[in-house]
This record gives sequence, C-alpha cells and structure tokens, in this order.
Amino acid sequence: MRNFNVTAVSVDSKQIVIDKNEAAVRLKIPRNYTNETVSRCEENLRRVLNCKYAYINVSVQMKSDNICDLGFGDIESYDLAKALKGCNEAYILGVTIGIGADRLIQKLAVTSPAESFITDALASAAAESLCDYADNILRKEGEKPFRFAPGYGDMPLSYQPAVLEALNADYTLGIRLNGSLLMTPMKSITAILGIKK
Amino acid sequence: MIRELLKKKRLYFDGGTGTVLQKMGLKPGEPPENWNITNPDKITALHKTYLEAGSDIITTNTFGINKEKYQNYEQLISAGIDCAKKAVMDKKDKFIAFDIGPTGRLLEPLGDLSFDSAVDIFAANVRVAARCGANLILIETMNDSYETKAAVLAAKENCDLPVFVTNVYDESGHLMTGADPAAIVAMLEGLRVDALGVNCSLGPDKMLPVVKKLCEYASVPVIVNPNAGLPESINGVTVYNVNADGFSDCMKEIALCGASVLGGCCGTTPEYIAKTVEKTRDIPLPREKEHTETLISSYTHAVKIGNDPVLIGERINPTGKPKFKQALRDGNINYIINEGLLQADKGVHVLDVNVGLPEIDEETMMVSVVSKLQAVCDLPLQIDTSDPKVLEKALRLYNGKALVNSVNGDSDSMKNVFPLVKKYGGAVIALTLDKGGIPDTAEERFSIAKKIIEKAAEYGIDKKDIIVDPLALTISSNQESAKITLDTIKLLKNAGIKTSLGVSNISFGLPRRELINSAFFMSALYCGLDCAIMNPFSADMMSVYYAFRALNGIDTACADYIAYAAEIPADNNEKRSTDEADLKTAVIKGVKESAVNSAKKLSETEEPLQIINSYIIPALDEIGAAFEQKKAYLPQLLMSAEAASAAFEIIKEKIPDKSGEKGKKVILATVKGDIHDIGKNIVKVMLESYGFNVIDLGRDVDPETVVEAALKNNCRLIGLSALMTTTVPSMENTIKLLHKADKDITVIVGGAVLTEEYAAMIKADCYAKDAMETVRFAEKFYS
Repeated sequence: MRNFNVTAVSVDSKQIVIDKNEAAVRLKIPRNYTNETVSRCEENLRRVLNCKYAYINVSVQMKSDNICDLGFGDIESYDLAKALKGCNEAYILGVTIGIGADRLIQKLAVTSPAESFITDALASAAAESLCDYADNILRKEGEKPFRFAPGYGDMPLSYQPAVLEALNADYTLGIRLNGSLLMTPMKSITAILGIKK
Repeated sequence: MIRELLKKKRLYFDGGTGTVLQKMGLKPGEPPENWNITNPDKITALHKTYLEAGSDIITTNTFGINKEKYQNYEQLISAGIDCAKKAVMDKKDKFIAFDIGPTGRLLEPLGDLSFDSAVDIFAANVRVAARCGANLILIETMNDSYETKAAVLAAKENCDLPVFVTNVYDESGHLMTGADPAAIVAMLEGLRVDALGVNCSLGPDKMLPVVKKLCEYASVPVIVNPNAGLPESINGVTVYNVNADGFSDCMKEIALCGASVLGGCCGTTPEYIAKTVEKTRDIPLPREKEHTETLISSYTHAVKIGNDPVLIGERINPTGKPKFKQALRDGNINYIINEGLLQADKGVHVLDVNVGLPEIDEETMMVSVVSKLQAVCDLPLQIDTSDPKVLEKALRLYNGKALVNSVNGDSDSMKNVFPLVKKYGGAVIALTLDKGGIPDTAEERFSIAKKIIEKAAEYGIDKKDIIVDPLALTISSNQESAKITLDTIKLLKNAGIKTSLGVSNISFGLPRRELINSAFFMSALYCGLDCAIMNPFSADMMSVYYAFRALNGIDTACADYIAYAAEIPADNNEKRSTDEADLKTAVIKGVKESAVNSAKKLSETEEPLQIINSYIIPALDEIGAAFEQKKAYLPQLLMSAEAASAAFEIIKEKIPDKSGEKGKKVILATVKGDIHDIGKNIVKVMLESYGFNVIDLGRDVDPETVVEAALKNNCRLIGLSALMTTTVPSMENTIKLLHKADKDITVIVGGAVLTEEYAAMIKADCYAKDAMETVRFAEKFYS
C-alpha cells in the first residue's frame, strides 16, 4: 500500500554547501586544495542539481537486541538496533540530488573522463551534504544517534525496497531501484535517524 | 462512444482509491489490489459512490498490478474489472477505465529495465483488460516520459480502446526525469492518445501553471485529477490539507483554463467530485484550437518549428568523413556521441543522426547511438535513414517525438514512412522529388509537396508535421537552381507549409563554399525558411543565423546576438592568448584546447615523433612524477592526460605509417559482476595519453569475452579492474582462463579491493596501485 503520509521538500540547491572534505577524500586531494577544473565542475554540477528530501516519522519498537520494527515489519540487524538504542521514535529519510547529475556524469564520461570523475566525486559529496542539511532540520536539537541505512553494517541492502516504499520514494523523490538494489538517481541516500528525547 | 462524448461534454473521473480504502479498513502495508478478490463488494461500493457523486468514468482498482509483481495478475485484473462492471451495471453513459500505474523501475540507459521489457509488462495487463471488457485505458501517475511511451505503445499494440494518459509533475513543472508539459504533449499526441493531462502530484491550486501549459499546446482534451492538497498527519491520521470546497473552487478555475476532463487523486472522496461537478457542469468546453506550430521533442523539452529558425546539426553523418566512417566500423560510439555534444555546445536545436554505412549493421548502430544520445544530450533527434526497418526501430526507442529524414513524393517512400510516423509520432522532412526526379520549376516542386501532404492526411498525419525540403542543387551545374529553390520556399510559405533545407548542397564543386552557403542561407531565411540542416562549426553560417534573428526582431533586445558576438574573435588575426602557450606547458596545465592548438602549430614544422618525444612525453612524465611525489593530484593528472591525448590525436594524423603504434595494444576490462569503472577509465585515459592503443571492453565483462578479445586482437597485455570484494573471484577466474588460452599473456590488476598479496594470490602477473604505475609497467612491457 502506498504511504500517503510522507513529507516531501524541495531544497534550493544554493542552500547546499558541498562539503569540501567529503569531496577531497573522494578525489584523493588534500583538504584545502582547489583548482580551476574542480571549481568549473562544481559550477556545472550546480546547474543540474534538483535537491529533494522526503521523510516520515515512525515509532521504534525494539523486539530484541537484533530485531526492531519501524512500522514495516521486523528488521534484523544488531547494528541498527544498537544505533537506535534508547530511541522511541525515528525519522526515515530519503534524499536525492536528482537525475540531472547522472546524465551530466555520463555525458562527461564521453567528453572528458577526468571531469566525469571529478563531478562524480562532487556529486557524492553534494548528496552527503544534502543529507546533513535535512538531518539538521529534522533533528534540530539534542543528541543525534548515528545515521543508519540499509547496506551499513549488518543491515542488508535487501531492506532498501521497504524503506523506499515507506517513503513513497518513486513519487516523492523519483528514486527507483535496479535489479541489484542500487538507487537511481545514483546520488541518492536513504537513512534511519534515531530520535532521542 | 467515449471518443465522441469527449468532444461533446465535460467528463468526470472518480477520486482517490487508496486513501478511501484505508478509511474502509485497508491496513497499511496491505496491497489494495488484493481487495478485488478478498473484498469485491467494498470495491464495487466505492465505485458506486463515485458514480452517484457524478463521475462518468471510474478507474479500476488495478494501479499496482503487473506480471512482475503478481503471479496472479490476470485474476486480480479480471476481478478488478468485474467489481467495476457490477457498479456500472451496463449504464451506457458510464465508463470503466482500466488503471495502469508505473512499473516502479527506471528504464535504460539510466535504469536497468529495457524499453521492450517495459512494453511487454504493460502489454500483458492491457490484453487482460481488453478481454475483460474495460472501456478505456488510463495510464496514470507516470513520472518518466520514456515509461509513459512504453505504456502507450503497449496499449495501442494490444487493443483498440481509447487511451488516456496523465503524468505527475513537480513544483518546477517537470516530470522527475525532466520532461516539461510541451514535450509530453508533443510525444503523446504523436502517439495519438485520446486525452492527456496531469494527476496526483500537488494540490489543484499548485497545478495551475502546468494545466495552463498543457491547454496551450494540446489539441486533444486535457485531463486534470489533482490530490486534495498535501498530506498532513493529525493525531496519527493522514489528512489532506485542501477540503472539498477549496478543491472544487480550484477545479472551477482549472475548467475555465480549458481542461475538459476533471477528477481527483489521493485524498479526494466522492464529496470532492460531487462539488466539482456542481461548480463546473455549466462551464462550456474550450473551443477546438487549431495549432499551426509544429512540435518535436526530446526527453526534456519541445522544439517549436514555426516562428523562429531551427538549426539541425548535420555532423553525425559519415558522408565525406573518413574518421567518422572508421568510428562506425570500430563501433566507437563515444566518437559519434561526442560529435553530437560538440554541436549541442554550438547551439543547434536538433541533431540529425545518420549512421548508415554499407559494411556495418545500421540497425544495431542506430539503436546504440540513439539510446546513448538520449541519455546524455537533451536535444531532439532527426532520424536519418533510408531503411524503413532502421527507422522503425529508432522511432520506437526514441524518447520523445522525433524528426524523420525523410520521405519523398514516390509512392513507395510514402508507403514505407507514413505508417511509422502515424504509429510512433514524428514530423517528417518531405523532399520535393518523386520517380520522375527533381523537377526544374518551383511550381512542380510545390505540387509534389502538396501531393505528399495529401497522402499524409490519408494516414491521419497533420500538415503541420510535414516539413518540406524544396532541395538545393549546386549552382555550379545550374545557375538557376538557387532561384528555383528560393521560389519554392516562397510558394510553400504562402500556403502555410513548413520548410527545411540542406543548405550546403548549393555550393558543391565551388571554392570557399561557406561564402556561397551563408549568403544562400540568409536568402532562404528571408524567404521564410523554418529549418536548416547545417554545419554549426561554420562561423559564417552561425553568424547568418544570429544576424537574421537580430535583424528580424526575433531576438529580443538582440541578447542572443550580443552573447554570440562576445564569444567570437573580432577578426581573424586576433588569437586567444592560450594559443600561444607551448605544448609542454599546455599538457602540464591540462588545458585541452591550448594543447590541440599548439600541437597543430608544431606539426607544421616538426616531425610527429619529435613532438611526442620532446613535448608530450616529457610533460606527462613531469606531471606523473609530481603526482607520485604528491605534489600534483589526481584531477590534475587526469586533465593533463586528456590534454595529451587530444594533442596526440592531432599528431597521429601526420604519422604516415600507423603500424608502430598499433603494436602497443592494451586490453582493459572491469571484471564480471562489477559495474564500477572509474578506476579503469582513469587507467585508459593515462595509457592513451602515452600513445597506447587501448581496447576497452567496458564493465561487467564476461571472462570469455576478455579471452576472445585477447586472441582476436593478438594482444598480450591485459588490465583487469575490480572495486568490490565480491568480484575478486570473478577476476581470478578471468586470469585463469587467460593464462590457459595463452601462457604468454600478462595480466595486470588494480582496483580498490586489491593489494599486492591479493593479486599474487589470484595469480595476476602484476599489481599496479594506480594509473601511473600501470603506465610504467606497460612501457616496460613494450620496451
């Protein structure tokens, strides 16, 4: 059944500051390094960003030290249970910077593999920044337990379809899964954010 | 029946299904489709309440059903239609719409569902629905144009029922994958749907801009089925924030904008529909508009052919281009795609795609090029082929409404082309020639054009979708020919017929052709030419285009002209400063353009090998060493490699005997099961910059394919890459097979998961920690 109670938000991409450290790690460059090509790639990437996030608020039912229920069946994972320890509620969050980035990266792979590589790294960093941005809005104050997601630790990627369905992500974010459970747009992130009150 | 009613009266859809069913006891997580079998009475009751509220069309509870998700899809669909039939009870003026929602997967090339598989999935649904007695097909909540097209084709190919389509637009007025309303109208009217519109998405108030656009472009009736605003959670219950009064007020405004079929989506109830009916019943239907503008479209936008000249880039075409021909023979798709992207940068509006060559399989090539182009370039395409089979395949796979190049007055040509245009949509370039050849007078050419348009009308193809090319023949053989062509354009223009011209033929056989071409282009524009198939790299042609628009008040405040003028050098003697940089500096700095320019200059005076050895290689070594000492970083290294490769391409043309460099082959592949190819691509760029001939097998490559390539190309140096731990066994297997095939094969491996030890364990001959190491090893290998 489609979930009709998802809040979806479009974010002006100017609000998203691409985390330079995050990008640096992926580009294998030092933290404060800048160069013309990287700046140009960022400028072009910004033109195609279409940032959105969507979330639902769920209650957390801890059934044992490795099983919890977030409203769509039992999830088996010690690591998730640990991350949600002491949380009665959680947000399920999905973010995407949009399919324009996929197209740009593919286009650059034809015209300039170097720029494609750089743009790919910047786009990953942009998605992370967007996730931080949404997280900061949702969990304004208080402790922020570790952001968790299918594919992290011992939580299998096979929970990804349920998470995206809960977010009605096809409609709210345009995120779809391929046969290997990878998301398109590529630069999309799902997350489970524990709330400690 | 409903097709006639659509023209006569305002029709009403029903409202929300899922949200109402939840109120009737459907549990979260429970698929509503199952109720067709477990609670058929409730489904029928729901339909009845909508019929009582005034809905003319009820939609079956089949949104999420398809053969991929449900083994018993046939049973679910037939039960769903039965529920609707029981509610309608043979009332003649009430209709059952078979509801089709998205597959939930994204189509290739960005996703992994092939277009044909998508058609197949929808087709299975449609066949059951037609058999069970649905009255029309409603394809709804589609947020991807390509998937929409697949669903429409499936409906058209498997039943004769009317097809209605509604899409989901976001706040910016686009589908999730980028299409705007004009693009969708162009595509769907091309596919001959009966009505189109918008559903779900937003509340009715926020839909207004999209509705206005749809009404502006569409000739078929426009459907609007909005949500009851946005969902809010109040005490754990989902409530939509627009009530029935607010909703119906907005719907009144929407009806006044010109939408003729109204209904609701998530959150709306029979009350919403009843109030909407009450407030809009007496608003007359919009008058039928005559649209004279021709629309073609890509996956993002439509291009209008009418009041502003349209440039069609002619460069994706092998005629007279040895390098392009070679790329076709080698299956070098990227070369061809790059030709398209470069033209897009120059500002053309449409790309002509001609990839025919006697010695290659044109159909396969056309499919590859169209698929790849429509992943990375947002311009509409003009499918240019003389083979109807190739044309059909391309039109089928095209994500939008294409231009077709071409049809002519010969009856066989029209018989081949028109049925395809009728089925898949498109605008056609019509050449004014027939069995008797090209007539010598404007009047005769005009009459062929008329004949073609009349024939097209028999197929239901509108005059506006026939764009007549009155043909330019070279003035070197007939001095009258320019005049005849221009006169024909004038005749066509007066008759309200769109025109296009392959401009450059006019100068064939003459020196300095661009002088004649550009003068002729300007004359043709003044006669009313709508489209030109031309070379956008000709500054003369582009200047004519910008000047014409500025002179004719098309270019508001001359803004485009001013921007264009700022980009070009004021006179030919003025060179940009980057041209002066020497090749070595250009490569080290990684400036491609400047590397190319200085390579061109150097190759006038120096021997190719000398240029490579005294400029390019030292530059690469310098940046490579800096990289190894961590004084330069990966982005710089890559940009330098690209600059070197570009310079290398220039110099290669001057090397008479290419056998030497052909000997330095390296095969690269990312192993089976792994789709991460960034590492491999970096290595490729670096190797190419050093002059190696890289045979790139791509990613997710079968071990057998690697072996085959090694033997076929007689190449003994293979590079394999893997990023994920899970694919290392696949790498091991590939190495084993390679060594078995030929013990002299050397395999070098790299990738995020590999280490020296790991590489040894899987019996690789060498491990390289990065691209530079691979280059050093390859140099040693061939020294």
